[in-house]
Amino acid sequence: MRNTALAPDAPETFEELVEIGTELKDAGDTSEVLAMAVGQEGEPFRMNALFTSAGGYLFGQDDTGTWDPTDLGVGSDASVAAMEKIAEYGEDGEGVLRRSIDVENDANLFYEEEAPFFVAGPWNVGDANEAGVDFEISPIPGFEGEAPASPYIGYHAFFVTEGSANSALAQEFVTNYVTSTDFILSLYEADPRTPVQNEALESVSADDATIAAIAEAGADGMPMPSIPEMGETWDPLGQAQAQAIAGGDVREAMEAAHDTIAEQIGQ
Amino acid sequence: MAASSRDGAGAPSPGAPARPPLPGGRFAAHGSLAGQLVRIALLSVFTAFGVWAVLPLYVAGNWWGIGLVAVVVGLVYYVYLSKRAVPAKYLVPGVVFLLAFQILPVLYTMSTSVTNLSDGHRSDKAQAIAAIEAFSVTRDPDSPEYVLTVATTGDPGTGELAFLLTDGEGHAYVGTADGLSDLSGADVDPAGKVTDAFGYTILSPTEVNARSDELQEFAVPTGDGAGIRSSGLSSAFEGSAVRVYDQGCDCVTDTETGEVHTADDERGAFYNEDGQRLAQGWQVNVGLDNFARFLLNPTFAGSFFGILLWNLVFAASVTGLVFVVGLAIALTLHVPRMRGRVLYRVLVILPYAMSSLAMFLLWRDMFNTDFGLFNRMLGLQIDWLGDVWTARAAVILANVWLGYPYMFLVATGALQAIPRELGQAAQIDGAGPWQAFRHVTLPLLMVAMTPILIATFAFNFNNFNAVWLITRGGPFSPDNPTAGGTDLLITYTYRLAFNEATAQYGYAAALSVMIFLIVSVISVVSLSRSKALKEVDR
Repeated sequence: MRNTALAPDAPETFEELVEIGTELKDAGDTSEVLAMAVGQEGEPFRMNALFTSAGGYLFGQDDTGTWDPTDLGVGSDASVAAMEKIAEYGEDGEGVLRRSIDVENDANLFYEEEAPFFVAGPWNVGDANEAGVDFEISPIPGFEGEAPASPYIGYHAFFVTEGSANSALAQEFVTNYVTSTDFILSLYEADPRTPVQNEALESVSADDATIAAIAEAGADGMPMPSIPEMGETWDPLGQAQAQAIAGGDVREAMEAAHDTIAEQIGQ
Repeated sequence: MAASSRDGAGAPSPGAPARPPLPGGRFAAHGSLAGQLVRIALLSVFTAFGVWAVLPLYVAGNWWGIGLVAVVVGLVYYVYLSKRAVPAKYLVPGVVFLLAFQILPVLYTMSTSVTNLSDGHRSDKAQAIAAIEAFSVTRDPDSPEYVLTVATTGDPGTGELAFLLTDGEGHAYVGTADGLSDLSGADVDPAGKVTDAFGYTILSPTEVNARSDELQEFAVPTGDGAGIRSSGLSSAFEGSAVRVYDQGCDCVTDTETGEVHTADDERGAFYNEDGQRLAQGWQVNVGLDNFARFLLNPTFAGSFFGILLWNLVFAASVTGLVFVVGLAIALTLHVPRMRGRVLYRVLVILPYAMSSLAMFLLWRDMFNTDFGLFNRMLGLQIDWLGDVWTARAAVILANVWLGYPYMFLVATGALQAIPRELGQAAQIDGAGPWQAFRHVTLPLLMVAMTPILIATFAFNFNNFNAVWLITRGGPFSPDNPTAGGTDLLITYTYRLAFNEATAQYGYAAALSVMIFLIVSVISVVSLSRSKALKEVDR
């Protein structure tokens, strides 16, 4: 999200974002360059956009896009280099990314116009509208000359629990009703999130510019790896990223996280 | 009810031997009408609870549970309708609740701690095998998708299932457990659903749903292990289970790759030669492996004992500080000539009256480096929660602030019970205020305070909220992301056992048993060493 009164044009690169934000901060218009939650424990979910842009990866993928849990990339040279690049903007560097900005205060920094940019999610749109800030949604910019930033794309899915009661009706519902455009549209009406079906998305985007912008911002995004091993990465990776932001030894932190995750997933 | 109305007469039965008077015996023998009504009402409510508890047990066929409920209800009836069991009338509720809410959970936790109950080890072996086979069903390439109508050849509830199928060209088939054959003379609607077929009863969605379990298992065999399976109520596809269980070798074979996973009944999963396992396992008894895991594994053992030490320091310092602060304020407000004591007392109790959950979150935000109250007010740049020792100080500080009002309340009450004359007598004997406090007031005070202090220690030993809400156990050192600087055993347990991907109940139970033993030992030792409590017993 970008405060259009402070920053009229969407930055193309992360460097440009930092430059615009720093100018505003130096001029005294804002107190922060960017509201991006890091927190004491790290926020790997939000960090993924910058992490992937700088070349980091969590798990390898084969040609068909299937995740390979045996190819854990947290401690790889590419991931360490990526976090080292990000750490340049950390507490010992530019001071744009700091642990004191967390999921509790990041949104308020943006709503109170203390930060011109905000790494946000669709869940922030309602509050942002209420806060009365003029904002626009654009993709998270990647680093100059590097890969595009890939934020995680979250989506809701329906599962039928194994051994559940009424499984026949539940399966019928999931296979033959959940997939219908009308149903997806009624979900959107109940809770205005970006529809996950192209036809529904097109019909909603025509009327709802926010939804269209969110869909566009997610064009380079990646679905979160849907393998059970993914769940073991959050805590160790977050801590390593927080340490990198704090100015600690990036390689040491990432390799320690790698070892912890590897042990948890039995490698 | 006849029995209770006979008791209501209150007349001792003729020929009954004279009994020594028991506490409450008078009331038991000459219950008032109101007392009788209350007794009948309470017993009726209790009986209703019993029936309510039995119904689900009956549905689940749990006869042990039903027996237990019947015994408890019978015991309660006996105790409260009999005139002989007077002491039991007072003891039974407490004992029942003690058993139900203290002893049973501890026993259950202990029994869980010697199993491998966790994600991937929740069910029994048969269910695991069924899940492995069902999960491996893949649709055969180039196979048609059928529109499905579920029917039966007999009674809708019990008759044999049959799949009435139509393919994309409108051709109709019937599939039964024997195989697939052509279906002629059936009425098919435009969507491909069969609406009427001679010799078959078409099931309504509700009727199909009632037979969900059968439907899950049902496949129309089409040769080579393939079968037509349902996907919901209105579509079916031809597929085959890639993984097949063979009872002879107690193993699961992958029909595509030929890979064999053999059952390991010690670990409760199927393993291949390389030690890779299938995700679906089953619950087995692992003995003391869960305990050995953190006592013998060097990484875990190092963390465990480091955390144990900090945990003791944390609980002891919080208990000590809340005691000192609470007692000091109580003594100050105990001075009779002080004005506005009630107002002060209300103000002091305020932190206790607020939701501790919200308070912990508030304290966490006050310790924020850039936006927190402390650094802003004091003009500091301290990374409170990012450094081990400041984080520990922060957690203790927040906890003392929340804990001292309770200690103040208890100390105030205890002080009121100590006659002021004792202090005055000490002064007449020439004792200074400190001596009077140290040798007269404090020993008397400790009689009431010691059990409270032990309870406070035990509570803070397991004060999950205080640590989890402020620091989440952090800060963490780079070489050990599982054990943080402020971690208590309970938060460490929580992180190890319930981090986002897998819930390891067996392992968590083992850690809980360890914590239980530590707290029990500390409590028992300090209670037995405390002379103060012996006076209470007297």
